Amino acid sequence: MAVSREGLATKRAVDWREAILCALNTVPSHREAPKTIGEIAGSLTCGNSSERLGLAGATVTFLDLFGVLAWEGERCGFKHQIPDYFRHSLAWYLSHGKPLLSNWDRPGTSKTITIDNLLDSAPYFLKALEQRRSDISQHEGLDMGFSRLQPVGVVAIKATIGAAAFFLHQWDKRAEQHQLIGGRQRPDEDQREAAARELREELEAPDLVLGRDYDLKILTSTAIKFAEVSRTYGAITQYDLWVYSAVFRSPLPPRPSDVTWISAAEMRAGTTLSGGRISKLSRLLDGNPKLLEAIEDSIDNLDELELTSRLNIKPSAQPVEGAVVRLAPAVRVSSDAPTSYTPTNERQPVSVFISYSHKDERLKSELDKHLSSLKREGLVRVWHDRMISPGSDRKRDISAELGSAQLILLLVTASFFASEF
Amino acid sequence: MTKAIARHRIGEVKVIPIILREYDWHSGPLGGLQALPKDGKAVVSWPSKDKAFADVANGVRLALKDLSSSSAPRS
Repeated sequence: MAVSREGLATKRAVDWREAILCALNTVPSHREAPKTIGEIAGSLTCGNSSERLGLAGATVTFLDLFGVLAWEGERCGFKHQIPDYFRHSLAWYLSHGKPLLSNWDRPGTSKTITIDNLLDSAPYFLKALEQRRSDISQHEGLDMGFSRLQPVGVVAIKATIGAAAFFLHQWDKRAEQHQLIGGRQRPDEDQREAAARELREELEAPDLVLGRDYDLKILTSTAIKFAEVSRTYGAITQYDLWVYSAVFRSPLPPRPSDVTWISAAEMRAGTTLSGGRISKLSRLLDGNPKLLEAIEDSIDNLDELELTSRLNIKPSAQPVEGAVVRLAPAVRVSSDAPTSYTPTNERQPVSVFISYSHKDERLKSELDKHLSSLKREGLVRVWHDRMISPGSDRKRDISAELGSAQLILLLVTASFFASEF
Repeated sequence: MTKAIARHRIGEVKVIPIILREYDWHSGPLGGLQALPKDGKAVVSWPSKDKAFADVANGVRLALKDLSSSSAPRS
């Protein structure tokens, strides 16, 4: 599949600088220097983007801006980290005035790339990226997405108990995350129509009529801008979000199984109580108190039982804030108990689980010795199956330790692979 | 073990492959994970095993720091 004319046209419509700044708006924090791409690529050693782009010899510090690493990341299966990495590292480089790439010798680009001349080299990177995508398209017969501007209609359906607000989310199977009701605007509709259509589709209620059963109130006078590196092939998409508040006159239709109420606290945390990922758009909404306030309750007679059983709080419970605190990410509650994850703090040793083949016993013991200083400092508590006391249930012990471990070391050899995979 | 790797991908646990002996692990389920010792060079192929393990221990120490900073409450 070659580059389509339409794809190119929409790509040009994206103002890169705006898209980048827009991505920066969603940076949560940048505490420390990110790892350089060279480090990451070196440790991944899968993929050869640096070679393909003629980067050999250059000090590559920031390349993923143009999606190359995002593409590699997708292929290497660490797709979830990439957009975060992208924002985190770009923000760091910008705030420290560091060059994104140096000692780079390529016609048509600057030798040292900084944020100031970044865009001058963009055509080179884009060409390389396009070539790469077109290779993949041809190879896999897929039609690749390109960087684009995408208007989205979002419908906030809100319910309140005490001071805790809940918003209806739908589980998106492809993106593996909960998302607010809403979706992309199609060519034949405006944002409002898109929002109404998505509402019908996602609530599986084709008979819902806008104006009769519910109203949509626009909350945004101008679009909220939000950009992300797509998890497929590194295209940057800038989303223009038009947010509506839905107010129902008739009862809310029964919820399909993939539609759930998610609290504002969970949205802030980015994960649900049971650990499901929540779309960044939800966090964005939550990070905008003015907007959040403007959202009206969608229904009067909310099924409080449903929400309260989920939260395990009584609706009249006085310290409602307490309930919200309980939803904080640090107290991630998991129904499948042994896998629940307790965050580390400096006093508590991290549980380390060592998985190895018994044929590699000797090397394991050597590693164990080298970890002894970490143990002495109280930083880790190491567990491996030689520690099972005689007479105990071996299988159960292993799975309990594995479930509660925070760090798992896999001692890779051919025999390990033969026994574990 | 596949479950552990899935949990690693969603950030619940950190999984680090320690490459003891040469093995083509990149193409398997561990592909894409950041391995130790550095550059994923197998411990037995280092000139000194002690040096390799010291590198591993150092890598583990850094990973511990990552773990504690990433689980710190967001301000």
